[in-house]
Amino acid sequence: MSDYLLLTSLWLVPLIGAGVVLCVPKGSERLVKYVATGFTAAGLLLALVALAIYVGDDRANAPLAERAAAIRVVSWPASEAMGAGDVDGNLVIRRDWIPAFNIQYYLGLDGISVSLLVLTGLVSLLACLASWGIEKQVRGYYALFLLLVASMTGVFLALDLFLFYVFFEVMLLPMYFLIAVWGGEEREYAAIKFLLYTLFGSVFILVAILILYFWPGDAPAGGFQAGTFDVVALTTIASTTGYYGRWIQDWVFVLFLVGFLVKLPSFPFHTWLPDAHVQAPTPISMILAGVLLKVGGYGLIRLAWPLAPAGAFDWSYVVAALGVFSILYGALAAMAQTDFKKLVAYSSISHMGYVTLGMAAMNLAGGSGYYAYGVNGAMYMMLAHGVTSAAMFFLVGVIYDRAHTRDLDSLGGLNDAMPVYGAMSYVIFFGSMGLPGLCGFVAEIFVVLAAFHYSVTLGVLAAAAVVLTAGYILWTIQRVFLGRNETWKDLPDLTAREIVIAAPLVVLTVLMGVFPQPLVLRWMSPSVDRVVQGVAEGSARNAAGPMAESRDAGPPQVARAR
Amino acid sequence: MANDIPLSWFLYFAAAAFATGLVGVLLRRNAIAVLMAIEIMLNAANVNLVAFWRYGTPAPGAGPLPGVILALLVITVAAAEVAVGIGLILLCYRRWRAVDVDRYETMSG
Amino acid sequence: MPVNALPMDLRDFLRVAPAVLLSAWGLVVVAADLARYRRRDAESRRLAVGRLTLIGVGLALASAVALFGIDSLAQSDAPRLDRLLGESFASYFSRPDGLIFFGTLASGLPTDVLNVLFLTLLGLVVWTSTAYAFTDDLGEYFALLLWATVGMMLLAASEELATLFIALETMTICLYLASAFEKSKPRSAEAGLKYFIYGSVSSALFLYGLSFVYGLTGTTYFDAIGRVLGRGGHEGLAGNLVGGAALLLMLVGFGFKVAAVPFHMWAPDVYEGAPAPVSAWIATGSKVASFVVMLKVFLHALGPWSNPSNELMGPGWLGVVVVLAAATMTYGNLAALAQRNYKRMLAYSSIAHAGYILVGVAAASVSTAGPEAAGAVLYYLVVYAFANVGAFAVAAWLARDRDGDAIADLDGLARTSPALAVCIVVLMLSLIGVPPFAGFFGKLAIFMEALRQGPSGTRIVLAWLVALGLFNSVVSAFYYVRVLKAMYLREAPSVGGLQRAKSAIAVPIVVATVVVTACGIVPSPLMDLMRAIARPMLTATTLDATAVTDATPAAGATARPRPVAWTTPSRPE
Repeated sequence: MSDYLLLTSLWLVPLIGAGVVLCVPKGSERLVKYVATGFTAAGLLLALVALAIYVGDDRANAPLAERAAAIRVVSWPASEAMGAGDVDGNLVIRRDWIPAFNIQYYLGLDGISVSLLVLTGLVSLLACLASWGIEKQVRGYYALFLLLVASMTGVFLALDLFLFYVFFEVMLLPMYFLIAVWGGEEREYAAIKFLLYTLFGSVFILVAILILYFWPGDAPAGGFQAGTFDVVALTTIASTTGYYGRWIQDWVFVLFLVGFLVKLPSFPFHTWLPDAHVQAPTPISMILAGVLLKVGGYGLIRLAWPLAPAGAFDWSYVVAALGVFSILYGALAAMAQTDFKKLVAYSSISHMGYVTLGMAAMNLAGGSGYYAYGVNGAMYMMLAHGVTSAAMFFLVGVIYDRAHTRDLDSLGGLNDAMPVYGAMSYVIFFGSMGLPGLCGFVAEIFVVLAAFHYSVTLGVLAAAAVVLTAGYILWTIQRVFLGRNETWKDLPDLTAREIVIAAPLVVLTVLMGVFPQPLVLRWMSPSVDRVVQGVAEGSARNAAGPMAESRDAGPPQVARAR
Repeated sequence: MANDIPLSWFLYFAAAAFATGLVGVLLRRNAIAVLMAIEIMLNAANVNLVAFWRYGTPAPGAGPLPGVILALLVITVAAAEVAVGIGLILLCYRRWRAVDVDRYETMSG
Repeated sequence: MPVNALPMDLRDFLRVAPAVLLSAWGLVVVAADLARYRRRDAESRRLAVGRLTLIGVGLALASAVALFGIDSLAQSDAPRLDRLLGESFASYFSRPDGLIFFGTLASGLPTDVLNVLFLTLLGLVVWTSTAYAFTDDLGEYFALLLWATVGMMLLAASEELATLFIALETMTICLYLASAFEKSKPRSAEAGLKYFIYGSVSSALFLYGLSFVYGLTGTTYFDAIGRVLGRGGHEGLAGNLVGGAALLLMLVGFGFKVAAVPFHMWAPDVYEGAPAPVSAWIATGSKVASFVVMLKVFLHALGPWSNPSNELMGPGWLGVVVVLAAATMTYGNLAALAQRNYKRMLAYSSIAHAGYILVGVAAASVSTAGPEAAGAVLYYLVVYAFANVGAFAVAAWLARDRDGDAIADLDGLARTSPALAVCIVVLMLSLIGVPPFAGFFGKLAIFMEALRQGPSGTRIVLAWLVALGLFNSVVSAFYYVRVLKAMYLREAPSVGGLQRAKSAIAVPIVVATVVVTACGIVPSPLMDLMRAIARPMLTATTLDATAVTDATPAAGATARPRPVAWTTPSRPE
C-alpha cells in the first residue's frame, strides 16, 4: 500500500465513517452502531498496519529527518501520479496545501507517533463498544465520535505545524458536543469550561507557531528555508543551529508549554478536567483520559522540547517542579474525593505529572543518558496511562450503570457480588498504582530514576508520591470492593460485551509490565532517543555557561543498554 | 484677481461653518435641525472645494474644473439626502408625533 | 491644453454592463410591481416580484461573469480573444490600464471578481427577502436593493474621489430607505433615521477631508494623489494641519461606514431595527464595498502617508489604524458578550470583524509581500460576507416564525431542522475562526501578513496586535457558542417554534455553508485569486499619468514603484 493511501486513510476513514453514519436512515440504531464500530475497527487495523510497516521495514524506521529529506514536495493536484515525489514505504508524505504561506499537507510517522496512533485506535474501538448503551440521538453521537477519532489521529500524524494546529482545533468541537449533549447534569458548565480552557491554550500554541514561522524573517544559515511550518526542518534548525536565539526560545517554549499543559493537564491549568470527566459519558471519559490527554503530552515531546531546546533547558527546573507538584497535588486531591469518577480524574492529573517531570528532568551532564530515561519514561507513562485510565473510567462507568451512584462511601462489598469485575479492577488499579510487573511501574521507575539524577529533592518527592498513589488506590479498593454491603449483593457481574471491552486493557496492563522491551521500547525508544539527542544538542549549543553540574558520568542510552 | 482675498480666509470660513454644523449635529435634538446642520457641513466642504479650485494649480491631466464639478455633484447629492432625510423624519414623526431624536428609543443595549 | 487627455469611449458602457443592467432592472421591477402584481394576494405578489428581481440579478451576474471571462482571456490568451471578439474589441479589452470613463472607474479582473461577489450576495439577499412579509411596497424595496448594489459596484470600482463620493452616497441613501421599510415596526423607522443621521454626518466629514486632499494635491485621482504625495512635502498627521485634518477626517468617515469603534454606535441599532435581509446587505455588501474602497484610498492614494518615518507611532495613518483596529475588535467582542438578541449580537460581531479587517489594512501597508498582502483582506471579506449572509438568513427565519430575534428563539432547532442546524454550526465556527473553516484561514492570512514585514519599529507592535486578535477570537467563541447551545442543548418550545425553512431561508444558509467549508478545506484557489487581483486593484494607473510625474519632477523624489497593471504575480517563494 502506498504511503499516501495509508497515512491519509488513517484519518480519513473515521471521517468517512462519520459521514456514512449520518446517512444511515432514521430508526436503524443498531445499524449505526455496527457501522461506527466497523469504521473504528478499520482505523485500529490501519494503525496496526502502520505499526507493522514501521517495525518491519528499514526504510520506515530510519530517522524521521532522513526520511523527510528524501521527499520532494509535490504541489497538488499537479502530479498525475499520487505517489510522485514520495519514497514508497517510508511513512512520510508531503504535498502543497496553501502555497501562499508555504503550508503543506505533511504527514509522517515515527516511533512516538505510531505508538500513540495504535493507542488511539485501540481506545477508540473499545470506547465505541462501550457506547452501545447510548440511546439519545445515536446517529449524532457516533458521527461526532468518529469525527473526534479522525482529528485525534490527524494530530498524531501531522508534521506540518499548521496542519497539526488544524487537527488540534477540530478536536474541540466534537468533544464539546459529546460532553454538552450526552453528559451528566452539569454538562453544559463542564463542556464550556473544557472548550474555553482549550481554546485559550491553543491560542498560545498558535502564537508560538507564528513566532517560529516569522522569526526573524530572513533565511537562517545552513541552507534552511525561512518561513516554514515543517516540524522536522524546524527541529533540525533548533538542534543544529543557533538560529533561534535563546531569548526567543524561552518565549516559544513557554507558549507551547502553557498550551499543552492545559491539554495534559497539569497544575495550574487542570481544573477543567475533573468537571469534564465527571460529566462526560463513560466512553467519552475513556477517550478523554486515554487519548486526548496524550495529545498534550505528544505536543510536549514533539514540539515544545525539540523546537525550543534552550528555552526548555532554561525553564526545566520550574517545569520539573510543576510536574512533581502535579503528582503530589493530584494524588492528595484524589485521596480527598468521594466521587469515584472524580477520584480517577485526579489520579490522571497525578499521572500526567510524571510525563511533565520526565520531560523536564534535563540532566544533560555527561551526555543525555539519564534524560533519555526520563523521556522514555514519560512516553511509556502516556501509553500505560492510556491503557489503565481508559479501563478505570470504563470500570467506573460499569458500576455507575448498575448502582446509579459513584459515591465511594455508599459503595462497598462489590467483590462478593461481581467477582470478575473485581478481579479485573484489581489488575487495572494496581497497574495504575505502579505495582512491579504491571505497566505503570516501568514508566514510574524510569521517570523517578531520571528525576533523582536531575535533582535529589524532586526525585525524593516524586518517589514519595508513589506512596500517596498506593494510599488512594488501596483505600479506594477497600471502600469499593471489600467488606460487606447488603445493598449491592444482587448486582449482576460483567456482561460478555463488557468483558470484551475490559479484557484487552487488562491483558495489555500485564503484558506492558512484563515485556516492556520487546513489546514497545524496542521500536519506540530509538525515536525517543533521537528526540532527546536533538534536545541535548540544541540546548548545549544555545545555553551559555555550564549546562548542569556534573554529578557523575552518564549511563548509556536506554536503547543501547538493553 | 483673487489676490484681494487670501485663500486662508475661505478656509477659515469653511472651517467655521463646518464646526457650526458639527456642533449642531452633536447638540441639537430636533431632527430637522440636525438635518440642517448636516447641510451646513456639506456646504462648508463645497466652499473648500471651490476655493481650492480657484487658488490652486490643477495637476496636469486633471482637467480644468474638478473642484467645481465636485461641488456641483455634492449639491445634487445633498438635495437627494435632504429628500430622503425629510422622508425618514416624517415616518418617525407619524409614529411618535415628535421630531425629537431622543424620543425614538425602541432599542438599547 | 486639452480638457482631458483621455478620450471617452462608448464601449466603456459595456464594461459597466452589470451596473447598467441593475439600474434599469430596478425600474422594471417598480413598473412591473405597479402594473401587474399589485392586485395579487400578498404571498404570490411577494414571490413574483422577488422572482423578477432575481432574474435581473441573474442577468447582471451573467454579464459580470462574461466580463470576467473576457478579461481573464485578455490576460492569458490574447489571440483567442482576437478571434472571439474581433480585433478592435479585443484590443480595447486588453488595454493595460483598464480604466474607463476618463480614468474614474477601474475595470478588469478585480472589478469583475468583486462584481460577481456583490451580485452573488445580492442574489442570496433578494432570495432571503422573499421569505416573509415585512412590507407592502415590494417593487420599491427590491429596486432599492438593486440600486444600492449599483452603488456598491461603482464604489468598489472607483478610482477617483468624486466618483467615490457619488457611489458611496448612492449606496447609502438606498440603504437608509431600505432600513426603514418594515412598516409594522417602529424600530425599523428609528433604524432608518439613525442610519441616515450617522451616515450623512460621516459623509460630510469624509467630504470635508476629501476637499483638503484635493486642495493639497490639486487632483482627485487616486493614482495622481499617490504620486503627488509620494514626492514628499505633506507629511500627513505631523506634516501640517491641513494634511493631518484631511487624514483624520477621511479615517473618521470610513470608520463610520465600516463601523469601527468609536464610530460604531449606529450599527447595533440599525442591524436590529432594519428588516433582516437589509441588515444582511448592510453588514455584507456595504461593508465589503467600503473596505475595498478604503484599501484603495489608503493604500493607493494615501499610501505615502501610511508610515513615512518608519516608526509605528510616527506621523502617518498606520498608527491610527492600529489603535482603531485594537479598540474595534476588543470592544466589539466584549459588547457582543452581553447580547441576548441574535441580530444585535451579529451587529457587534460584525464590528469585531471590522477590527480584524483593519488589522489587515494596516498589515497590507507594511507587509513585505507588497500589494498582494491586501489579498488577505479581500479573502477575509469574501468569507465574512458569505458567513454573514447565511447568519442573517437565520435572522429572517426568526422574524418569519417567531416575530422576534432573541437567541433563545433558536431553542431546539437541532431537533426540528437538524441539517440546517449543522449548517449554522459551520457558519458560527467560521465566524469564530475555527479550522478547517474559511474564517480561520481569513484571520490567519491577515495575521500572517501583519507579521510578514521587514525589521522595523512596527514589528513588535503589530505582533502584539496579532496576539490581541487571537485572544479576541477566543473571546468571540463565548457568544457564538451561545447560538450552538440554544440549538443543541435546549428543548424546542412545544408550540410556536420555528417552522420548516423554505428555500428562501435554506438556500442562503446552505450556499454560505458550502462556500465557507470549501474555501476552508481548499483555501488556495480563492486566496490566490484574491492576491492576484489585489495588485492591479491597488496600482491601477492611467496611461498618461506618467505625464504627471514627468511634468513636475521633484528633486530627490523617490518614485514609488510603478508595476504594470495586469500582471498576475507568481507565488512568492
